[in-house]
Parts: sequence; structure tokens; C-alpha cells
Amino acid sequence: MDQKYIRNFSIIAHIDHGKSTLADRILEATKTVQSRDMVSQILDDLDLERERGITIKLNAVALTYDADDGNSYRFHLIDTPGHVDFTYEVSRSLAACEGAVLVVDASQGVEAQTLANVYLAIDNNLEVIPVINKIDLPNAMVDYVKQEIEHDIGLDTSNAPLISAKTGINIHEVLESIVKYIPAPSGDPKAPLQALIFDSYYDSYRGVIAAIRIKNGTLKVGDNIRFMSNGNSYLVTELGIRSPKEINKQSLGCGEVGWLAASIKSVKDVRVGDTITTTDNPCKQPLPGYKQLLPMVYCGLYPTDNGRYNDLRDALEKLQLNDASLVFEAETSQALGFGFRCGFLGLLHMDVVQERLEREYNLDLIATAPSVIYEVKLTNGKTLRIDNPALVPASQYVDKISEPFVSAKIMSPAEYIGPIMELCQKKRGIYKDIIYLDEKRVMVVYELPLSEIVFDFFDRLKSCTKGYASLDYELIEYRSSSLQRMDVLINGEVVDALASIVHSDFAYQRGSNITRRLKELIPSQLFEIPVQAAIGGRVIARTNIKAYRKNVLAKCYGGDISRKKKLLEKQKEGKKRMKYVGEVEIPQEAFMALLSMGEEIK
Amino acid sequence: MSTKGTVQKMIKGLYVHIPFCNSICGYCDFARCRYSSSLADKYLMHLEKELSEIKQDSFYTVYIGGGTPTSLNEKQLERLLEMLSRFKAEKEYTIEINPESFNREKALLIKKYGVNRVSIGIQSFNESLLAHMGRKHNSKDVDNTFRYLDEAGIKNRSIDLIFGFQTQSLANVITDLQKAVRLNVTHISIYDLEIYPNTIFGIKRYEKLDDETCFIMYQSIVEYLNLHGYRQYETSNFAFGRYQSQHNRLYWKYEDYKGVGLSASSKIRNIRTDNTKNFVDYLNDRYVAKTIRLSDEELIFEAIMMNLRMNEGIDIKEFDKRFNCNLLEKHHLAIEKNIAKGLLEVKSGFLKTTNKGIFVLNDILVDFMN
Repeated sequence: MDQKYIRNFSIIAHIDHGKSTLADRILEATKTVQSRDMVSQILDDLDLERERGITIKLNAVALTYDADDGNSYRFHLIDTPGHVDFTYEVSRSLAACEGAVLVVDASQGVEAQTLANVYLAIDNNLEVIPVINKIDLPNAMVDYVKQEIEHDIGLDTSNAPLISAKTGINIHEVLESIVKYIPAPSGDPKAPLQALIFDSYYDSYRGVIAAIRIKNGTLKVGDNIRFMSNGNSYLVTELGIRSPKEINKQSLGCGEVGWLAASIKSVKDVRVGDTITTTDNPCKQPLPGYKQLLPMVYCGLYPTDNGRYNDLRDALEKLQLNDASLVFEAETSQALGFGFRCGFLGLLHMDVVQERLEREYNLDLIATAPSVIYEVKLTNGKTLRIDNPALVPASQYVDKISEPFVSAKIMSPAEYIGPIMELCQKKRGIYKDIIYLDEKRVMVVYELPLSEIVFDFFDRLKSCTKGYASLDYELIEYRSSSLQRMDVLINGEVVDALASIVHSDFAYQRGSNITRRLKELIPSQLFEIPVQAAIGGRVIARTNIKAYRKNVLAKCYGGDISRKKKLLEKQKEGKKRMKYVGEVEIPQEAFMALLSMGEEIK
Repeated sequence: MSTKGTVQKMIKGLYVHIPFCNSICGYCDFARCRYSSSLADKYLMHLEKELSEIKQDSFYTVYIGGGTPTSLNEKQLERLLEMLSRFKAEKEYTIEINPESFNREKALLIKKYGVNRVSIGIQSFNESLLAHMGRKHNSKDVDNTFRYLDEAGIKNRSIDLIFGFQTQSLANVITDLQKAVRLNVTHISIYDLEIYPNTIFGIKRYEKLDDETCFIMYQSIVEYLNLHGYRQYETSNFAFGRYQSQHNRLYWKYEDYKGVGLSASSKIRNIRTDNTKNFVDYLNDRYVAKTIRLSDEELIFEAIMMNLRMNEGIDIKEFDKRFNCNLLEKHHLAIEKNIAKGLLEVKSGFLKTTNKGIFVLNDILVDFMN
């Protein structure tokens, strides 16, 4: 394939602005997929993704397009995930492209989340083609949205295709723009091999399949390759592209995007952002931008039915095959029994893993509130790294506790600077900078404890900026803080799964908030239940759950029996998700109560 | 109850459903539709057909419910009573009546055909509350209803009340009870409002009073009515003296009954039959929507579920004989657990809920499920 006929690009869009629909139309228009075979939105191949409207797994599809200039082009459409947890993966997929199609909904305009990815694309020197979608909607505001794109992002919209991905209007223009404006790949086919890994997944027959972009050189089946980050070497057994079904190739040329198999056993060995070269003629430098991703957020996952502990382990092992950033190890909780402490890239990643476990492996889970890793220096000089607040030793043995701080970059329209700063201040943030990206957009930079971000920062940020702000963060260092373990006692018993680490300035407030939340979440029992928060054995907050409870069907006559029996069956199902602490039944939500403490900050 | 020599009276109760109403209440999830005279004529025609298939001609109890049976006009009501006149109601013959559609003629009609008990859909005596729940009658209709019943000489009167509406206070509820007591009704059914998805309230996401308030109301209701001679004999039912609902007792005793009409259910031995809820099907004489053969386990569970609703509970000996089992042994885990929690007790041969257990019957029943 001659390099000059290759176009590598991604589609960037806000959720619901029509990314997947446009991808579908492009596949149809290039006859890659017959419309009758199309499951709508082919690129999102997991149900879960479709339901949540987000794309988690990366994927690349090769298309052939016969352009108006009479030439036949090879397009590689590279899909990107769209959430802060996966920023790094997004940046690597973008690094595999020369251009991006930015889809903006004509009725909604530019949204904050889009901006973050647009900037990421611009950082990666991509040519960005704006496309205005949903022009067929009655409330489309094409001129306004064009102006917004020019003003807020600084892209020229004079040639922007005006399309409706849903009805297929002007898809042809999009394809022509891709040919015209996105540059062909520029690498040197004669140079030593440099291939960028931008995704990987596990195949039970062939081992790990890596999605790669050849930046320089050529790769052939039978080549001996080396991963530059860890020095591991493999023999390439298969190469190919997807269209969207796999098509095997003998080689991948400079500028091409495809996949490789090399009998690699674990996704852990195939790191996104790593560079592949050949052992015979290695390149001197890896491609820039490689980072090793570490889990930032931990939580305990427990089967509601303790008998399913082994099923949970099997399921986690299977998920890990395809998800190198998921880590887990066994732990036990007095309240919850046997389970696993799991590490995730961020909160969304945690959510997705939990949902997949429940849906694909049919497990009922109880998840504890997420935590970061604390460094606990003991009075005897030893230092422990602790990812479970319940394991922090009693205060008399603790010299100091350090917690991870991140550098947080919040991008937002300028009018929300005030509320953002107020929020960061309340979350123990340290002001660093405000950068005006242009007259309307700012980037607010703060150093924040990661634990505060894990707590409820993102929700609050969204609500105080009407959803316009986006957040990106990276770990900077551990800093010691005035932190203490707060225990929760229900009916006099410490519930280890409800322990948390709190800053002493917030201890009383958090204590009273959690007890109040638990009072709302734990159903009344037949006896009064005290709910207490305590630090170092000292009770700092208390509420009582009153002993009233009514749970009986008001009416049950001859015609009602079947239906009422179903209600009881449902209650029985719900009961499976309860855990007993002593005699008290505690529902799943209670274990997440630490997270959603309502109106804590006014 | 001896069966020798005579034609076996297998089925004890007969239920007849009239699905029409003059207006639809916000909380109602029964099979019902707005009354139309021509539709009602057709319905009665097909109801007659369904009734003609019943071989047995004598029941302990006959019950005409709805919907609103009195939404039928006098002619239609007479036709209904006429077609039912071939069935003998040995102990009790009840009809549900609603104040807004009741009158002197209808009172005399039901008396003439031997109805000896009425169940009146009062719901509340408070007019603003009635409007809130979407009822169309007022207190004058109620007064009139009682006068017509007096004139017709029907003395066995039950009323339905509801509590749990947003605008209701405990004082409102007690005022309703006072009024009922003063009217000397023989029986009171009082229901804690339940919001079902396919009702007007369900669709509007109506929020009822909070659980704690309803619980206090319920306790106060039980106390107040007991004090005035109305003994609670089932979760939501109170009888003055001996005036329990004989027909409804059949359900709670898990006896056999036959239901006819739209959406009616029957249970005859181990077969439950659910009639269609679809008018078109019904008017094409496709009465039955579903027939379920109940396993022994299901029969036992359903019997427990229904029996425990009654304050008297389960007659253990009778139960063991009927289902050829040993209840206390079979469910010893559930029973012991709930006795230990103070929710169940075994007393003079009966397994029953305690004063505490009666409020949490669902929790108890879940323990009896497999």
C-alpha cells in the first residue's frame, strides 16, 4: 500500500453527538459493511458500552474509499474511549492518527468533554476536521455552532461538512474532507521498525492481540520483535487488519494500522504506548509518550453470596486477561466475608468492571467505597502502603499518614472560575495556576489529594459548572496530612467495610454525614439501632434508627395471590444483596454511603 | 362439613367481577374501565355464558365485586342478579356498592334478590381527601346510601377506607374511623395505600406518606377500632362481633373458589385459573388467559401466605392433614427463627403472627420460601 493513499483518523464527539452513528454511516458508505448486516454501531462491541453511550474498548477498522479524484484510499478509523480515566489510552490512539473528525451536534453546540479530547488531538498535532451533525433537527443552529467552534476551539469551519449521520445526508463530503485535509502518514519505510501499540486484547487461541500503528519501517510475519519498555522478544505469528472482520496480511507497511499476534501470554506484557521494533535492526529511540499506568483507586468487591467467592475470582481473572490495568488480591472483611481488593485507573473504570462482573458473570456484588493507597509510617519506623482504610493501625502506632496528591487540570468556560476555585479550596486544594486558553476558556490548575477526587469531587465539579468543566489529573507525589481512621459502628459493632480515612478538619462533619446517610439507607428493624462514627475509640457522631417497621401487603384476596407471590419473590431476591452485621440487615448501598453524603458542601 | 350423600360442594365461594366504574380512581389497579351502557350490556351477555358453564349451584358465599357493580343501571343490575339467582348463597351474599352510583331502586333490587351484605367503597368521609384521590362522591351521597340501605333493611354493612395519602393526618384518619363507628357498620376494611406502576398515581409518581407515619397510623387504627369493638381478624380487616367477611375468609383459609368475569381468578384444588384482562378476548368468550397447575410445595406456601394474614393463623392439625405434611417440622428453620425474633408464636394448636409479627408478614413469609 502506497503511503500517500493512507488516511488514519479518529472521530471525536461528545456523548450522544453521533460518533457511533457517523462511524456506522462511514462503514456503509465505504461498503465495508452491508447495511443489512449492521448491528447498529459496530465499533462499540460491548453491550455495556452501547448502553452507557461510551466507548471503552479501542478498535480500529480499515476501509477502502474510492475518492472523487479517481484514487482508491485506505482509511483506518481508530476508535477512542471517552472518559477521564482513559485519557492516556485516548492520547495513544490519537498518536496513531494524522487527523480527527470532530463531530458537533448542531442543536447542542460544543460541550466541555469534547474540548478535552480536541485539545488532546491538537497536542498530538492532528489535523482536526469539524463536522456539524444533526442538521435535520428542527432546533439545529448551524451558524451559531460554527461560530462557537471557531471561537472556542479556533478551527476554521468554512469547509465543515453539514451532515445528518442518522439520515446519511452529506456523508460523502466527510469522506472527501478526510482525503483532502488529513495528511498521509509521513514515516520512512526504510528506517528501522517503530510501531506504536495503542490497544490490546486477549484471544484464547492466539494469545494477546496488539493493535499497532507502523510509524517507521515495515513489519512482516516471522519477524523477531522486541517491546522497548520491557525488552521482551517475540516471533510475529500473524499480522492483519480489521474490516471489521479480521483479514490476515503477510506484512504491514509504513503508515498502516493493524494487529499482530505473537504468542504473547499476558496483556500485562503488551503496554499501551510502548514501541515495537525488530531485534535484527532495532531503532535507537522508542516513540515518545510512553507511560506505565498504575491503579489509582481501590475498592473491596465481595460476593453477596459467600459461596460464590471462587466464581468471583475466576471472573476477575478472565477480565484481567483483557484489562492490564485491573489488579486484585484476596482480602477478608468481618462484615462482608471473603472478597478481593481491586485496583482501578479511576472511578469509571471501577464502575465498568463492577458492571461487567455483575452482568457477564452473573454475580451479585457488594462494593466498598473506593480508596486511594495511603503510606502509613509507624512509630517503630516501618512504612506500610495501605489500600484499605480498615487496615490502618490504631492511632497510637501511627507516626504519620501520607496520601497521594495529583495535579488536576480543570478546563472550563471562564465564568465558572469562582465556583471551581471554591470547590478546590474546600477539597484541600493548593492553587497553582489559571491559564486563559482564549478569552472564554480557562484551565484551572490545582494540587489536590486524590482521595478527595475519589470521594465526590467529579460530581460536584459537574454540578457547579453545569457540566461544562472537564477534569484531567496525574499523580505527583505523596504528602503527609493530618489524617485519621474513622470507624463506623452499627448496633455497637465496628463494620470494617465502612472504615474511612478522614482529614481531621473534616472529621466531625463527615462523621455526622455518614451516620445520617446510613440512617436513611438501613431499613428499620424491629429494634432500635445506634449508628456511630468514631475516631480512635472516641465517638464523634451518633444517630439512631428507630424501631418501627411495616412490611406487609395491605390487600390480598383471591385474585391477588400470583402477583403478591411475585412481590415476595422479588423481596427475597433483594435480600440476597443484604449483608448481616450481627442482627442488622445492611443493604449494598450503605457500603457506598461514604461516597454520597449529600449536601456536605454548601 | 360432611359431603356424604349430597352432591359434593367442592367449591365454596363464587366471585363475579363487574369491571365498570363511573370514574377511575388514582390508586386503583383492578381490571376496570369507564362505564358504557352498551358495553355493559355486551359484557353481561358473555358473563351469562361463562356462568352457564358452572355446574355447581350452591355456594357458601357469593360475592359481586369490581370495578363498581352499582355503576350498572337498574335494568342491567337486575339482569345480573337474575342470572345469579340460580346459585344459592348459603351463608353470605355480598355486593360492592359505591355511594355515587347507588340509589333507592338499586337498594330494593339487591334486597329482592337476597343480597344480605354490602361492601361500601367509602375510602374516606373527608371531602377534600376524596377529591385528592379522584373519587366522585360526596358526604351527601354517603348519607343517602345509608338511608337507602336502612329502607331496604340491609344491615350487614362493611366499608372500605384508605390511609397514607400525602394530605392525610392522623387526626383525619381517626375522624374517619369515628364516623364509621357512629354509623354502626358491621365491618371495616382499611388499607394502607399502595402505589402500583400502572395506576394514575403510579404514572404520576405519587409519593405517599412516609413509612414511619403510616406505621404509627396503622397502630393507632388497630387500637382505636379494638377499643370500639371492632376486632382485627386480618391484616386490613376488622369485624364488629361475628361479622367477619365469610367470603374473604375463604381466600385466607385458602379454600376453593370460582371467579367469573374479566380478570377473575379461580382456585379449584391444585388448579389456578386466571381469566383474561382483555375485553376483546372476553367478549369473544375467550375467558381463560392462564391455567396453572400448582405443585404441592406451591400449595403449601400459598396456604401459609394466606393463612398467616389472619390473626387466628394456621390451624396446624388441619393444615398437616390437608397437605399431608408436618408443618412445624417442614418449616422448622423459618418457624424457630421467627419465634426467636418474637414475630410468630404457636398457641393452642395454631401457628400465628404476634402483635409485632403482623406488621412484617412479608419478612416472615420470605423465610418460608424455598
